[in-house]
Amino acid sequence: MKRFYLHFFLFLLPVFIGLYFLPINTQRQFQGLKDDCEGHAIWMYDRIFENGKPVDLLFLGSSQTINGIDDGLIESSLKEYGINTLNFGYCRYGRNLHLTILKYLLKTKRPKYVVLEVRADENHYSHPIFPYLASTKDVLSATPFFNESLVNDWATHFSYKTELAQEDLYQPLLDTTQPADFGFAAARDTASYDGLKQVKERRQQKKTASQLFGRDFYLQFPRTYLKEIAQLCEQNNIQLFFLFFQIYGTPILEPLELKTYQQYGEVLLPPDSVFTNPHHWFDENHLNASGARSLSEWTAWALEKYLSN
Amino acid sequence: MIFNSITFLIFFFLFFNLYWLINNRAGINLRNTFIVLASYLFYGWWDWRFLSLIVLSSIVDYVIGWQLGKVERPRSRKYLLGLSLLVNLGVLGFFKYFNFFVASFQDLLSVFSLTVSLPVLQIILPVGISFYTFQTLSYTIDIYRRQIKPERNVFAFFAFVSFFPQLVAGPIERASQLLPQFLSKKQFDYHQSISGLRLILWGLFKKVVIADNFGVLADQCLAVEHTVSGVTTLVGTLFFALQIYADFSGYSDMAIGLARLLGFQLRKNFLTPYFSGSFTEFWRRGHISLSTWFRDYVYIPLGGSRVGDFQIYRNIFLTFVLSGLWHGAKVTFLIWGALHGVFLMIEKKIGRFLPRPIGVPLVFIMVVLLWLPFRAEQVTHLWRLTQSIFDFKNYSLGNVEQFIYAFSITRFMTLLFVFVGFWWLESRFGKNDFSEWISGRRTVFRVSIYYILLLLILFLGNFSVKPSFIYFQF
Repeated sequence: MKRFYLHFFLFLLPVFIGLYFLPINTQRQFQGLKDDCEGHAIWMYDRIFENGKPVDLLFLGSSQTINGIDDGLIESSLKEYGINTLNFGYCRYGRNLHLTILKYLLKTKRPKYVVLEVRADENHYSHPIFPYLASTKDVLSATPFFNESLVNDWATHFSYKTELAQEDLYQPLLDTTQPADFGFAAARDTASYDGLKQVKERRQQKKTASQLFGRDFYLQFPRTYLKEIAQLCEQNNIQLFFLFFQIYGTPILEPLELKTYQQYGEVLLPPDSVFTNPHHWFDENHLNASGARSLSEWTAWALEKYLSN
Repeated sequence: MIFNSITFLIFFFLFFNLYWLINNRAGINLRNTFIVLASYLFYGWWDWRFLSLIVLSSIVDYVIGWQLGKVERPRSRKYLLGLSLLVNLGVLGFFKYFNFFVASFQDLLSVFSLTVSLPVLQIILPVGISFYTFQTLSYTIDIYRRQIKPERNVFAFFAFVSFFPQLVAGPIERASQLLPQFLSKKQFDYHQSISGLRLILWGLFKKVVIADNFGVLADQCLAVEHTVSGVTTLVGTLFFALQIYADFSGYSDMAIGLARLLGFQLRKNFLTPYFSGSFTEFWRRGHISLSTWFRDYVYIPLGGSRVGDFQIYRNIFLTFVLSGLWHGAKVTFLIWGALHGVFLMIEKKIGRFLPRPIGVPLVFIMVVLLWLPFRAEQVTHLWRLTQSIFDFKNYSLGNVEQFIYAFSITRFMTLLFVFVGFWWLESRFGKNDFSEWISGRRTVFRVSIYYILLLLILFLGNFSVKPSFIYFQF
């Protein structure tokens, strides 16, 4: 049997090596995600590689950032500092995607400040888009502790890589230019008060994450990526901030990982009034335009202190 | 769980290692229990509720087989056989044909202007039910005929019924050939395992490169919602013929290959049937395990060829109509089976007189055209497609060209080029499978072919279609 395993392994080795070094067309890599998160990936590609406008202040996060950070408003609030602001939120959670996006951005831009979205607790899953956007090296060397998606991410990455190679062989590149200002998505509607009330009651009764068994074990995953993001920022002279996003009705009023964040940068804790006002919500998890205005104004004010130093 | 999925890859990797560990260190019963549990996991992945049917079928046939071994009175033996047929065909009939017979009965009454509202059940067809039902049936019938002895080892019998490599789409194995293999300890054989890997590689290539690419085009050309021209129908039918052959024979190759990796030998299911010089030969070389099943358990019991001319023709026709019905509860399958029956009857009548260089392409064309009723969604769809073939005024390449451009012309041309190579290789196989054909070649040639196949799977394989095999629905 040893002979069988050895020959099988030796036979597949060149294929794995070939797949590892198989080049990826970055534009296609982002283009392939055109049906995800309303085409944000395509716009991100444009903003990083096509649009020459510099980026000084970068927001990274999930759809809460997309809906809650009005980058235009922050930019105009900080206009005396000439800060080009960019909302690079991407739907759903997963800290490893933030590192990936930051790496891409650093290929063409030199941001001075990065603001990472933080929530009541860190999400311990790999972002579903990570294996699509990350480099082969990053996917293969993803932290295994405690990464449930590791094998799935490997499989997805290599399958996507061959799909992209096939597209390179058989399909022309699509013209997928996106409008320049696409990061902030203003939600005009307001969630129903009764609905929010019920959500609040439910959330007040819910067991908090800090009480969950094995938290320290499975949070090794996001903590590893937070550390890597912090190291990358340090190497590039970027000041790192953490901006706390509450969800409506939560009893958790500061992030459970506060001490972790404080090791790497300043933690911005917006006043509760931003999140407790029911008129600020589009749904139970996302701010509407009014909420975004409130949060963005406060964020600009909070950041100004650091910019003026 | 589909063979060409990551889930199956992980499942099989774990299974393979544990299987050989158990086989080498523990007894046969423990190994067979492990096979049964893994097979149930494999099958339950679709829907765990379907497992009850396999368990029921296994229990019924185990007990009836055991009783048949003890009982000598002919009448009692007939009752026992009848009970096995009733349970197995009853389950199959209920899940597969209930709605079809209700609808057909309603249609029949409507001919006489009678309308009756009969209940139609919302039943999901359990995957591969026709395959394992036929396999277990053959076990009981063979015991009844005293061709085999009943199996006393319950673990071996349950493993025989549920053996996952061939559970959902065959080859339909005979107890006399497969069951004894569960009763012996396996020795890992390097050459047999390599031969298994070769078949898996070849099967995977056929599935993802040939079947799944031509399948996309066939689906577009023959889609119900499209207006069709004769050319689209003909080209679509040709693509479907290539798809269904590569899909099913690819599955069979993978099943045989997987079994070889575990030390089991399954029967060959395809011997390049599109190179047959007659319909009789086509059915000897295509879906062999099913056609021999119908030969042994339907055609011969009806009298086979040892009766008068009329009865022979009737037997052929009936066997093929039943074979059509086996494929599915649709009139179009009946038409497909009946037409094959008719062609075989004609062949029987006039004898084979065409030389192979003419017979092979002619039979190929006929067989391809006969896939049309098999592929049509309903009778009205079949009628529309058939009409389009004879509507010579509207012959144009229009739709086909459009579909090919949407598919990518470069991809299509590459596929055609690869297909020619594939066809040439298949034409060299004769009565061998891919593994047998390549095993005598030089190492450099063999390894080059393996890498070419792997590269084609990676760079021409169609991974965007929902992973499935056509024959799972039967």
